[in-house]
Formats: sequence, structure tokens, C-alpha cells
Amino acid sequence: MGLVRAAECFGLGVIGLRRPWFRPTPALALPPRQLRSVERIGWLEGVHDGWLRGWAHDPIQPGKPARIQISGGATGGTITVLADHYRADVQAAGHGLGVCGFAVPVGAMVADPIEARWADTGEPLPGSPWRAGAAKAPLEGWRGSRIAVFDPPLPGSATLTGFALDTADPPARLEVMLVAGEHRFGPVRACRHAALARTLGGDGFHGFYLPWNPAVLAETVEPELRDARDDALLLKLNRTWARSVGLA
Amino acid sequence: MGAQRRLGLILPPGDDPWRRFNLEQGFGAVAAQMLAQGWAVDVLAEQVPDEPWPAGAAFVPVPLLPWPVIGGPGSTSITRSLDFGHRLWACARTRRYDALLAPLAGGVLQPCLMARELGELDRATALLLWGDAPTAARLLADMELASLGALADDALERQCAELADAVFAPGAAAFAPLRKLGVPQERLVEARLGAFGRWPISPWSSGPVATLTHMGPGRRAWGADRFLDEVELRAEAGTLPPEGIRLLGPWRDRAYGLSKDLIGLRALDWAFDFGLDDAVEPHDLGHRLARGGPTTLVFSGPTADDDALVALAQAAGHSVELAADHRLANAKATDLGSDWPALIERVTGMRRATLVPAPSGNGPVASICIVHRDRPEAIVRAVASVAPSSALVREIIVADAGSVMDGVESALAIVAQSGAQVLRLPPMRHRAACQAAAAAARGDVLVFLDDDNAWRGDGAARLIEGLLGSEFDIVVTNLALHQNGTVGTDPAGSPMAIRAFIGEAHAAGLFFNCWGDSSLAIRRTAFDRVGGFGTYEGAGNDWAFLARARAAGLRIGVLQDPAVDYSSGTSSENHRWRKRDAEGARQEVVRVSALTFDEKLLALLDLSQLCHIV
Repeated sequence: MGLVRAAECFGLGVIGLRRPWFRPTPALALPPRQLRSVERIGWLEGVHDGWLRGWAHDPIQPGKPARIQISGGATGGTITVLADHYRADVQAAGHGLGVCGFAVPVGAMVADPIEARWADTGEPLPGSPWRAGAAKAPLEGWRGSRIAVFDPPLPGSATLTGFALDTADPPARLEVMLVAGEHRFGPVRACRHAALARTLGGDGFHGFYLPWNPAVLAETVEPELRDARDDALLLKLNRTWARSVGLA
Repeated sequence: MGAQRRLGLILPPGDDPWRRFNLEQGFGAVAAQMLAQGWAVDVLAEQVPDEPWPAGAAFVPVPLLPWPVIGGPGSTSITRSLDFGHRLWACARTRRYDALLAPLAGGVLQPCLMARELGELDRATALLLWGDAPTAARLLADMELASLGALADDALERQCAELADAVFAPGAAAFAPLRKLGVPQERLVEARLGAFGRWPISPWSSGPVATLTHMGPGRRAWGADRFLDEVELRAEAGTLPPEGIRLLGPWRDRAYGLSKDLIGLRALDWAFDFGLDDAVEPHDLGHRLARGGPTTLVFSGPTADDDALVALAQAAGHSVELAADHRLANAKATDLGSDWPALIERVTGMRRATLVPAPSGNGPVASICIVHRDRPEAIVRAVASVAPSSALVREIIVADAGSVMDGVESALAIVAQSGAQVLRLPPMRHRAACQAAAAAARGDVLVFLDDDNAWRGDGAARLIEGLLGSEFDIVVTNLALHQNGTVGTDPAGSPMAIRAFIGEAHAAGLFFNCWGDSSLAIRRTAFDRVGGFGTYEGAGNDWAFLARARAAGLRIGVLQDPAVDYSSGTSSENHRWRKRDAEGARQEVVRVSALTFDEKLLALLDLSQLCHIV
């Protein structure tokens, strides 16, 4: 038992060990989900380049990295990881200091599906279970020489990401904003690094992180991404795509 | 008229095209000056450089050897610089050079320096270093240590710093990390590389400056972080050029610290334009700058190896700004490119003037101690292999640690008849048997050998002469590896590989035994001073002993030409972890050398990645 506890204290995964003796002490356990006034949030992002990545943030205990239990693969083993990697995108999305990412090398062991749960409550992390081949598609649209792309968003995230670029003038950085009826989000400068934008010319610094409120999707008007310089429509966030990525 | 003097310029292999470009430009300028002064110039490299090179310089390929060079056990320990350095020595010893000039980083000159100290390279050859940024300084600047090989490079560089005749560097800002590496102050020589090639003069260079440009990789070692800070300060003060900034050089997409992600994040607060061209190659820079409009190039180092880039930019008429603590901060444009013939002639002259002839005529001063157990055929062969070195050998002591096999008695009788003294000991560990042999020995030099190995020709004599002719307290040897059971039977003595050691392994020695093998020569006084082989009994006692000896201040040299034919099972080495990486040996090594490593460098190691390190 000591070994298991010690390994977990250092954020090390303990693979395939069963712990029948472990019973969380009620007095020390975290508040049950229904008693929380603020929801924990996170996302299992999936496997890329042999690494399973995701993030998990607890607003009640922002300074304490969450422990995430990951199971699946051909062996059916379970490991526990500490979500303590810094994630600039998660911080930018407004989730604490962003020190809540995790990454696990899965190598050849990966097999469908992979599940991630909060280690203390067993509650599944959003995005779990993850299955290979279930990647969500981005939404893209052209207006003349200008292209705009929305990345598949994290459910519940207060940030929409993507890139916007005028292919006739790649060095220029566009100013974009999201307009949904009476609501306006932005404008922000599309100058974040977006590797995908490089394929269309320029240096790749055309990404944007737009703060927004997913609740606007409930309204009748489809949100629109506009170029703040001339108010030109760049892209509509249509409901079909929103449903396909779990927004609506 | 005397013979034409000859300079060898060494271009080591490297993965960083920017550093290589800088070095080729700088050494090209050195070659041009030396050729003009009547020197012959050889460029020793694995492959012919792409860049233009002064007419008259000859390229000498540093070839692969007939056998591979491996360093330490397993795949984790080989370093490119150790491999190249050993091949460089094998190449350079067949040619006569008045001087060899190599860059510091990677420590590629260490095998040549070791060989010269031990008489395996012409002692009159001046061995000179260009003081580019040391590996440790570069890694610490970027807080990144991706490989144990970097620790080995650091150890090699430290020995280069200690043994080279002179280390050239461009002024005080470059001297500090070199002094920290161990270069004595009196061997630091101020010099600048200059540049050989010419960029096209930018047609925009006479107009008003429109941008600020950072040239080089997006790393702290190249001052990229300080460039961004400076840009933001100027933007706040309203002194930024109207078209903003340009970044020319490779940046990482995602990384801790400097990356494209960070640029994008910071750019949210920038009201000025910016652009990154990370596909640019260093030799294209001239054309890129000409296309981009008038700019001021900002070099913010201070650990960057961008000396030649600065010289090129100035020669092309661009406006150049240097950070206050840049390596070239005190240089004026006219200073770039020192008078290298004068510098090199001065150092080679001093080398010749202070050369002390190697001692000769040593009598029989050494005791050969061979530990044996149950290898009757091998012990006869091992003792017989001492014969070519007998002029220096006072006695041979065979310490038999409790053999029980049939045939041992007759084998020991044979070696006794040949004049060896046989100690019949009860069963005991290897260390204790070595200690017993040393206690019985009367020579001023103790030389140890395991019974399954054998001296390679006059290897014992070379080892002893290397020790007596140098200031080392211990001399170990690279090993000629042979498959188990084939020592002494291979046709023409051809090994299947050479195992190269570092000697004073510094922090790399905490992770694997790259110090040396138990086949070694040590002065009796040094052996007594360090307390003999000590009390550690487990596997890897050579590792533990050499680490302890180094921690006690003893100096360790490595004979490059293998003195020993070593019996090894390389096909099974990956499985012999208990011997190679035994927890006990490493624990002992850490215990005895805990205060001698660079803790800042070690702190960079991501131990969780060790299993992936090659």
C-alpha cells in the first residue's frame, strides 16, 4: 500500500494494481457532486502522436492538481496521472492558471476505447470514452480571399478557437468578433499560432481565441464570425455543425 | 627555407545548421588568412562543406574505422562527439600538423588531447580551441537537457578546457562561461572569427530603417526572449520602426518557454506588425534580408554562436545592434576577424619552446597484477601477453581467488615457471583479490588486468609509459572488444569494436561507467592515497573505484590506442544490466562523487524520459 500511495503522491501512474483495501474516508472525501456550487470541468482530448492528452480543472481547489484515472487499451490496465501540466489554451479559456493538463504516452498499447475519470469520485471526464476515428471536424468557410475556421470546441468551454486569414494578404492579422443577435464577443486580433493556417500561406500566426457564452446557441439567430475592420461576414456557426461537435 | 607549416581545421558533425554555418564562415576566414601567410590548411570533416571555401584549403575526410566505436555500456552512452573525436585522432595521428584548431562544443578534440598527453600524438602539435558556447551554458540558457549524451559532451569539454594550449574567444562576455568550464585564465586568448563569405549588399541598406529583425533560432541561447522584451519596451516608448519586427530562424511550435505559441500570446498586446520566417536557411539570409526592406539586425545573445553572422551582416552594410552583454559587445566593426596567423604562430611557438621531452629509459618499475579464478587457459594466455612489455615490468602477480576447476593447478604451475608470483587465496570477491595482489606488489606502478583479457601487443608498456610520461595519476585504456572466448584467437587481432572511455566522466559518470575499465595503471603513491580499492564489493567495482579516485582529486587519462584485448559478449550486453547498471554500483558512485557534479545541469534532466534517451 505504501508503494502505491507514494507513487501517486509523486504523480506516477500505478498500472494494473488493484486496491481492495482502499475506501475513501467520508470525512476527507471531496464534496459530492450535487453539493458543489461550481462544476469541475475538463476534457479528454484523445490520442495524438502516441500521447493521450487532456485537462481537468477544479475551480474549488484551483491550486491542487486533479488526479485522473485512465483505463482502457488492450491490457485493460489502469493508471493514475496528476493533471499538473501548464496549458496556455486552457488558461486563456478562463480556467484558472491553466496548470491542469495531463499527457500520457500510450504508444502501441492504445486500443479503443480509453476512459478517463476523476480519481476521487469516479465521475467520467467530458470527452470520455475516447475512440480513435471519432475526431470531430472543424467548420470552415470562405468569403472571397478570406477564410475562417472554427476548431471543434471543448464542451462547456467559454472560448471558441480557430483561425482567420486573408490569403490575398497573408502578413495581415485580421480582427475578428462573434456576433449573435444582441451579443457581441470580441473583437480580438487573430495572431495566435495556428499550425493549420500555414498551409494557406503566411507564417501561421492567424489563430484566435474568442471568449463567448455557449448559451447564445439557444437563441434563434446563428452566431456569425465577422471581420471587425469592415464588419464583413466570415463564417456562420451553424447548428448542424454545433450538434456534431456536441455544442448543441 | 623551412618546411611548410600545416594547420588542421576541424569541422565536427552537428545537427544545428545555424551553428555549423557560423563555424564554417568563421573557419573559412581563418583558412583564408593562414593560406595567405604560406601555411598549408587541411579541413578535417566528415563531409565537404556546402559553403564556398578559400582556394587552396584541402579537405581531409575523417573516415569511419574498420570497427565501430562504442562508449560505455548499451545504447544510452554513445555520443557523437566521442565517436567523431576518436576517429579524428585516428586520422590526425597519421599526418603531421603544427596546429589543430577545433570548436569547443561537444569536446571533439578530447581524444587528440588525451593522445598527445600520453604520447600517442606528436607532442609538438599545438591543440587549439575556438571557444564557442559550452554545452552546459547552452543547455542552461534554454533549460533543456534532452539526452545523457549532453552530459558526456560536457565532460569532454571540461577536459578540453583543461588540456588545450589556448582557447580563443571574443572577449569578456565569452570568457565567463569558459572560465567556469575550467579554462585557466592564462590560456584564454581574445580573438574574433570574422566571416569568409559575402552576402549581396542590400539595396535597401541606405534607406531609413523600417523593421527590427532577430536572426537565428528562437532560443534563449540566441537571445530570442530578450529580443521580444526589447521590442515591447521600444513599442511602449514609441521608438519601434514603422513596420514592426521580423523573426528569421526556426522556432518550435510548442514548447515550454519560447515557442510560436508564446509569440502568438504576446502578440495579442502588440499594436505593431510582426512576421516569422522559420523556413529560412542560414545561407539564404542575405537574400531574405535584401528582399525584406531596410532593417536593423539585433543580436541579443549572449551565449549564441553568431559571431560570423554579425560579421557578415556588417560586411553587407546592414545596421547591426548588439546587446550590452553580447559576446561581441566590445568589438567594433573593424575588429571583426582577428589576425589569426599571428595568434596561431605565437601559440605554436610557445608550445615548441616549452616542450619537455618525454622521459625515456624507464627501468622495470611496474607490478602487473592479474586476478584469476577458474580460467586455466585464459590465465596462461594473459601472463604470456606481458612478454612484449617485459622491460618495464618488475614482477607479475597472479592472485588466484579460490579456483576449484580441473586444470588450474597445471596452469598455475606454468605461469609460476614463467616467473610470475602466484598468490593462493581463499574464495573472495574481485575487489578483495585485487587488493591482495596490490599488497604483495613492490613496484612503483601498479597495473591491473582480468584473467580473461590480454595485453594487446606492447599494450602494458604503452600504458605504463603513458602514466610515467604524463601528469595523470591513473591511466585507463580504450578496449579492443572480442567475442567471449576469442581473445588471442582472432585473425590479425582484429576486434569487433572499440570501447572508448572518457576518463574524467564528470556528471555522465553518475549514470553509466564511462570512466574506464579495471585494466589500468596507477602510481603506487596515488593508490595508497585513495585507500586502495576501498570497501565496495559489488559488481561494477571499477566504476566505483574510478569515481572515488576522481573525487579524491586523482587525474585519469585514457590511452586511445587499445592496450587490452577485452573479452566481451556484446550480443548479450543489453541484458547484463546487473553488471553494468547495478543499483549498488551507482549508489556507491553517487555517494563518493556527490559533491563533484554540476547540480544545475543535472537538475535539467527529466528522469522520467531517461528510458527514451539515446
